[in-house]
Amino acid sequence: MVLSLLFKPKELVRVFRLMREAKRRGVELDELPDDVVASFVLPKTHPERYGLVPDDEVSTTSPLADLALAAVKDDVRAGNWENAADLVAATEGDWDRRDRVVWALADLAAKDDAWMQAWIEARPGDPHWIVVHSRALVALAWEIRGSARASETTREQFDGFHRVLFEAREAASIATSVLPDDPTPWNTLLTLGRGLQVENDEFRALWAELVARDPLHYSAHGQALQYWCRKWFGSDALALEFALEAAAKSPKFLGLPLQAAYEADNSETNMWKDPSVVRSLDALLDRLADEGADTYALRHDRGYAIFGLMQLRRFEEAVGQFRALGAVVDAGPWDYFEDPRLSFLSVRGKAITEMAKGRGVKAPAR
Amino acid sequence: MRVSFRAAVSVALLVGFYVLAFGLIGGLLALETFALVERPFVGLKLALFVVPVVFAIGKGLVSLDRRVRAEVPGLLVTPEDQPGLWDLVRRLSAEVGTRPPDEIRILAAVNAGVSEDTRFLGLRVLKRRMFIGAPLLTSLTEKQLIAVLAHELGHYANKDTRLAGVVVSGRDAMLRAGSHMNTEKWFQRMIAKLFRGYAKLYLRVSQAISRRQEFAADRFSATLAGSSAAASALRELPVIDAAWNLFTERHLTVAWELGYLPTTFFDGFARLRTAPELHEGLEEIRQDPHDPDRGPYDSHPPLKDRINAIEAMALEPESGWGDRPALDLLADPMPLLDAAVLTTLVADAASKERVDWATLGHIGARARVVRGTQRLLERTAELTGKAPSLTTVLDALDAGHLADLGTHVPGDREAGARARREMARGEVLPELSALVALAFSDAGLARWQLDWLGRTTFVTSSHDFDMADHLDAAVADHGDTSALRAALATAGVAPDYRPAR
Repeated sequence: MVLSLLFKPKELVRVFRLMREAKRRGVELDELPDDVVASFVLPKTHPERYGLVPDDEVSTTSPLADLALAAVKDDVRAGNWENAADLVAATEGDWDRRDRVVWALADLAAKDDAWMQAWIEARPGDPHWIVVHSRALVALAWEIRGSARASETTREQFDGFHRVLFEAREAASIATSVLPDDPTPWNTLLTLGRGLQVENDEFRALWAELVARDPLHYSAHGQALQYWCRKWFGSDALALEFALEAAAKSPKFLGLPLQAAYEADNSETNMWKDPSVVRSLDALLDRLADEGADTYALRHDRGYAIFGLMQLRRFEEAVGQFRALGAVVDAGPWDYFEDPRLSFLSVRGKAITEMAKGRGVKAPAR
Repeated sequence: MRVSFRAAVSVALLVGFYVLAFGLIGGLLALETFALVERPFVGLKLALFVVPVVFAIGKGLVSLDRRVRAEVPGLLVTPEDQPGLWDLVRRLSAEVGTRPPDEIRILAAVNAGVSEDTRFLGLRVLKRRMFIGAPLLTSLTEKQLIAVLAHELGHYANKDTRLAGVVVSGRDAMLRAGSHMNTEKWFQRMIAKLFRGYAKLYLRVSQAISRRQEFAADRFSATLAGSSAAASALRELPVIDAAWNLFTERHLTVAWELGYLPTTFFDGFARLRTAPELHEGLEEIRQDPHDPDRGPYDSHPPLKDRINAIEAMALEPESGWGDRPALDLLADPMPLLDAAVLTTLVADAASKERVDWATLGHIGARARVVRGTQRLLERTAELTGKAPSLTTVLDALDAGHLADLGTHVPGDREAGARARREMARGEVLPELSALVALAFSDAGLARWQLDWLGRTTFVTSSHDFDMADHLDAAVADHGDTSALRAALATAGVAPDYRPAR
């Protein structure tokens, strides 16, 4: 439960009500079920009156986007690696999908690598194996480190994190040489850039290798944006510069400047009002007008568009985006929060309330 | 403000301290008597207040005069034992114009000083002692030592102002003000506060005098030893201090807990001072000397200011002082200095076993390594129910228990078995390496060497002690300990090897 969401003076009364409810149920405050918390915290907005899905239909479960991938994940969990290995091999050339498949399998391998062992024993020298293996080491390293602050992370966790990151880098380097056309291991190296504290120039060299293989690699652009953020090894300005360049390359990346603005949210300048960001937002809205919310990327873009619209007090358009986004809360920026669904519902409630009161900027006719 | 005036104020304040205390006692007793005579009942109640306060003030006064009856530190050297040193100190006292000390004591510290047993806040002196640090005697030249000792004696020279000497003794006494009070008790705490407040006032008024006296004392140094020797002595003190700290912490007491001391001390210190691996670090300190932390009421001006002032005097040394190593002043110095260190170490120092430096370094390093293997051995025993030994650890690894041998948890609460295994690998590998190194060392095939910087290296006589691959293989997933076992068997390590403490 996101208590930080509640600890604002005017929400204190709600917290007291929640505490009373928790006492009534005989549980701790943060053991209250989400729907109970939501019923106390969220504004009563009747979303269905505005053509939105009701609160209790909203869920964080992703719809099945890649049936083949879902099937091989089940196979792997059952201990069968062959289909997974074949799928990875089959994705060669479709680099965005390949990256998604590799990430999904790497997450599984980070938990348990018995099937990976079986794979390499049965097909020694399979070049696709090391692509998955090196990415799995990245996932493993982050499991060892966890996501706590440095001060709450033990020395042993940091040691393990770094040790495995170095192994991942070694494995990814091998992968780049056995599959010279594949951008996937280069994306692994870009991802490692943060954990291994890669210098800006070295990162640019890795980036050049990646875009030489796939100039419009979706995942790599997301990874690189993170690297260029102030909280990692860039700055607000560098992140925005990178995002705007990408957006100029392809409408596929129109959401990146909004992500840059979101990452800069805690700084003194309000990047949301930057003309270049507003232009990207409007261009993104135009692009999204013809699209639904079927893919993760679309939901991701709509999520950031909503945050931008809320910042610019364009509540009516924000409600429109919520309408298009529907019931699935699986992408950014909701996934930054401890309880994505609750954050989603609270932002949606605010958008509806503000719009219903006639506040903010009306939607332009499109 | 002129020094003599400040000194007069300081002395007045010293006397005033007693006036204040006795005044308080007198006033309170008068009040009490008056009350008892006029209104006995009120007087009795008042006594509950007056008696503890008078007691507390009295106790506070005692604290000014009496140091804790602690043993006087250092090793006493008589004029008969060390005529050279005594002769030097007497000549220096005459030059400075103060009376020579009654005692000379050698300390195991990078320090020299003169102190006095005094009564009445330093207004009366009972005994004057000179303390000389043994590391100074081994590290300075005769002229540098003269500079250091002349400075200390210079504090007691009454050439500048007759009252200044009293002021210095008074500072020492004032710093003790209230030190005997029991701060658990309210009355004593209040009186201690009062005394300390007064002491602070005194220390502030006399600060300028003390500062001037430090410069004046430095002038004695420069006059007698010459500016260049006096300045170089000041530069040398932080260097000796750093070397001495390193020596005592990383070498002298490296195997103390295990019951070992080196056979001789100062030969080691001399080798440390000239060790090439220390040269650069010590030279850095010499070029950029920093002041030691002497507490808030220290009267010394910054070291660099003192060095600059001394160099600005550009004084030539008085003729007749030699420029040999200070050590030459002593007859048969090494046993004397070692004994001085031994008396400074705690009482059971004499019961330690004495070994040569190489052995001592090995013992100290080995003990640290042994401690680093305890956890793994204990955890293995707990897990397998067998006696802890190198073999049971290897058996547990072969049985696939790597993850269970570790204790550290990954940061992600939902981390899988692989992450836990990886954490355990990071924990077990260094411990297993240590265990194997100990087995080789205890089989007489290797030992640890301690360099003078305090770094240890593992030295082996056999050419094929490269266990890194064997160790990696032992803790790998689906790992294999056979290569490691074979290497251990070849070295003649018993299968049930377990390091003795």
